[in-house]
Amino acid sequence: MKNYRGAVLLMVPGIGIVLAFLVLPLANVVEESFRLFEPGRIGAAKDAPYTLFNYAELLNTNYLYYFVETARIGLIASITGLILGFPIAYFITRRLRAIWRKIAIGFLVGIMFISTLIRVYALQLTFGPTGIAKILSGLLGVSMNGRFYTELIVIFGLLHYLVPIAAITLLGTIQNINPRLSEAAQALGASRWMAHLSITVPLCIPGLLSAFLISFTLCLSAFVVPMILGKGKILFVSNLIYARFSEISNYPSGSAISIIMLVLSLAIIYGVTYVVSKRLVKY
Amino acid sequence: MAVVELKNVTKRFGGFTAVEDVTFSLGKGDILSLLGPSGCGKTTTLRMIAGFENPSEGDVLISGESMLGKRPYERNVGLLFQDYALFPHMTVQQNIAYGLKRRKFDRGALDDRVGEMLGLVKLEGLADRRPSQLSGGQQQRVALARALATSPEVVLLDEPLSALDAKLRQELRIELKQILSAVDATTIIVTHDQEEAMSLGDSLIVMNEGRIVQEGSPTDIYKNPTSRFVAEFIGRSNWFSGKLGKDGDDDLVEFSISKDISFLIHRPDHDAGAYDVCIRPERIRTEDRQDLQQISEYCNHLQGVVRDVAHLGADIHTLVELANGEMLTICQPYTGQSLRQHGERVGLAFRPSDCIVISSTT
Amino acid sequence: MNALNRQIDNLGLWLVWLIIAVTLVFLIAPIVVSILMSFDARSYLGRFPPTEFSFHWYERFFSDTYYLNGLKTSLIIAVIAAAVSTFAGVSAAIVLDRYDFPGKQAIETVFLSPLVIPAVVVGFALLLFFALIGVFQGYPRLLAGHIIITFPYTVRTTLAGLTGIRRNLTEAAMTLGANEWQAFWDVTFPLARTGMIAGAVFAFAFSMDDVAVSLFLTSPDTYTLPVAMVSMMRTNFDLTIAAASVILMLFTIVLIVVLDWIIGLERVIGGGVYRS
Repeated sequence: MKNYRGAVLLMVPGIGIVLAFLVLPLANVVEESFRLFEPGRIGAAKDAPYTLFNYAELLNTNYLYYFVETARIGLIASITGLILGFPIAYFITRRLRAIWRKIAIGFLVGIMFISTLIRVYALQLTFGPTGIAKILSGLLGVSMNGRFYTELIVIFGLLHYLVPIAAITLLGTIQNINPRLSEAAQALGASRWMAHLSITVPLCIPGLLSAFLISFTLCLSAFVVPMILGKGKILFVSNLIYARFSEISNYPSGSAISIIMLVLSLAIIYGVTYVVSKRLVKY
Repeated sequence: MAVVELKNVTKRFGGFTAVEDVTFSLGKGDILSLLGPSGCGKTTTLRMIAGFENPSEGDVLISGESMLGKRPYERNVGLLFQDYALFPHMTVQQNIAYGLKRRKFDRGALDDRVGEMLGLVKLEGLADRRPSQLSGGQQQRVALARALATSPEVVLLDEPLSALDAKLRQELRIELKQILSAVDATTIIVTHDQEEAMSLGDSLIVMNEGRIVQEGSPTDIYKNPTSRFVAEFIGRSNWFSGKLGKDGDDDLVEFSISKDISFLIHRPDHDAGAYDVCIRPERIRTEDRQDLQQISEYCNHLQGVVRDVAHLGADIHTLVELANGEMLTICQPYTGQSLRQHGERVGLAFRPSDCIVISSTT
Repeated sequence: MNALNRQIDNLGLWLVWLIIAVTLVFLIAPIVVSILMSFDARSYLGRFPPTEFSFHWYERFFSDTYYLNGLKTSLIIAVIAAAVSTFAGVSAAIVLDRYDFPGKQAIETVFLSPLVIPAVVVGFALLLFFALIGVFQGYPRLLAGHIIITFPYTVRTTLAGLTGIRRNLTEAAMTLGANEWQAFWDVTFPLARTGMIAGAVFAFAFSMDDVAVSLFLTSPDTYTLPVAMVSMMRTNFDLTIAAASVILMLFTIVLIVVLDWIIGLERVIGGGVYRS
């Protein structure tokens, strides 16, 4: 235990990987984000002057729109995911016998583990022109090539991943709530739905918050879902970064967007984690 | 020569002194109990002997050799952990053989020794089980066999029976003592349980706040505690505080606990202003009033009213309130007598020699 | 009042059942559709449901060098990345578990940070970085990207496995004559092994699945299977992709069975995607 030289040696590979493949590249992105870009080049010139233009440009409503859209669609998907995931988690923990519970959990984990690509392609086949696009868009009274239907399919794409994750996150929370509490409320005269609203749901708030946090951050960094299912009509911030690279090679602008996205994601994750941990102390 | 010797051992963690100036020694085959409340430094003492901690001052010697700076595996010490610490991924056989393997026993000698140990703890036939397939008592025996297999110079037992339920504890206590004496192991037992300490140890060291507060044989310490801490920690006791009164016959002196209540005690050999007196519950007899005068030895008599009677199987505990409101517990063996009634008046009798006098300042 | 409550109770119950049923259909139906479609006998991308079944999309997949190349690259990258990440992650986790030093918490946070950094940002940053130092080949770039995104999984599962081991088992080994290294190999390592293997399996799975990082780091002749599938999805309209999906799903099922066998599904969930 006192062998500190051995300890340092063991840390070398990990620190090396993180330095070379994460810290230095990110530092380079920060540097690049302040460089002036001349259209037509690939990336900024070596001696390009420093500028705040790449950040200032993002305040333009056109760009701000991508951030707002990403957050709006992410919010809708996350909250819907919680609403659908909660009853499933409750049902699995409270209503199923051990063997079925294991099968149900296995099913959820299986759905969660399915490759994003398979998921996206399956949804495209099902809700696209080869599937029920005509019927569903007809029912909703919208065009199947319109923006509303596309947005709906993007949300479906997010939900297919978020529902199992939300349900699995909430399993633990619900398991930790004593079922006698809800029974006690009913014995004291509350109806079942009252007991749920006044006892179970408030006790689940920390779990709901962390499930929401996980869902929302996954939405913010979603890439494949809007890229394939959005068909160019719906673009998330991550798609914008990719477009900066693949379409116009404007690396400085891509860098600035990356930095903003990184800061926003980390702020949300660590901020909400802090709030959740503070709240948890109360119970 | 002493097998284990601690010389003025002190251990500090930062500004906190866990063990202070502890000195004791054990000869071959001795069994010592280190007794004290949690946080008294007994576990730290044990860990210093095992080699997990180094003393800040003083020295630990095993067979006359200083152990300072020696790692645990450079000493020959057997340690039985409180929760046994059996390797969950190894069988009983592999657990017991582990120390022998590390000491490079060859295959044949190793198998012989493991078989011998399994016989010693009566677990033949369970050699291929995993620890998780054993009961608590069986796990404890495997842990003991593992600790003894390498014939350690010292065996350290950390709260050996605390993880077992009361009934099993009594059985294993007897067995443990037999096994330890069969292998003539020099043993140190660390415990906070006075029954465990007194029944297993030939000698007893009571520790509090890092220091040794009393040492001696279990009987000696029970009979003559030198401080209120020891008297309270070992056994149950009734306490009176009061003042010395006028001298009686021989070396007796009157001790008054209130205006009207006093009894005789032996004159303390040290002169302190205030004294506490402790009387063990089993030393007090309850007598019907007419009988009281007949026993000359029991020259101390008190009157009281029965407030509670509890029949605990072999013993009867009676709670008696004295005229000044003080409560007194009396413990008598149940021999078929009829129990006292609530509110009944009783006379109490006890001998001056059963009054333990402790100066209030200690 | 009571009658009303009772009606709300019953209505609520029906609503909950409805939500659960619809959600389950939503989760399962697309998977079933894509499996059925992959066996479609028609030679073009027709409407669901298929009228006849055949294996011809699978034959197309296994005779298309574009996909096979991608599959080969994916497997090579995933194996090497999982091996490197596991080696580095296990080493780092051992130190993080057994030693106390200033800044330990910070180092752990940095090691786990690729879990919370958007993959696109990681991919973009690596692209710029490799351009800066003049590396343009596909393999080293892809390997770097896959190692950095799988590394935190191996650190975390190993740490989870190590913290479950009580310190006194190591102490017991040491009183029995084992030094620190022997105690580690005899006691700690066998007990933490499941966590380490789980980390390697996770690393392999996430490497096989990655799109966002790989998309930035491929070169024209070195690309992974998911990257190949993405470009086919955008340009081609046939069902070879459905066949590829089913093959990848089989991988997933095998993986889940393996994970359940090694550590039990409940603990997979305990590990989760995020540390809560």
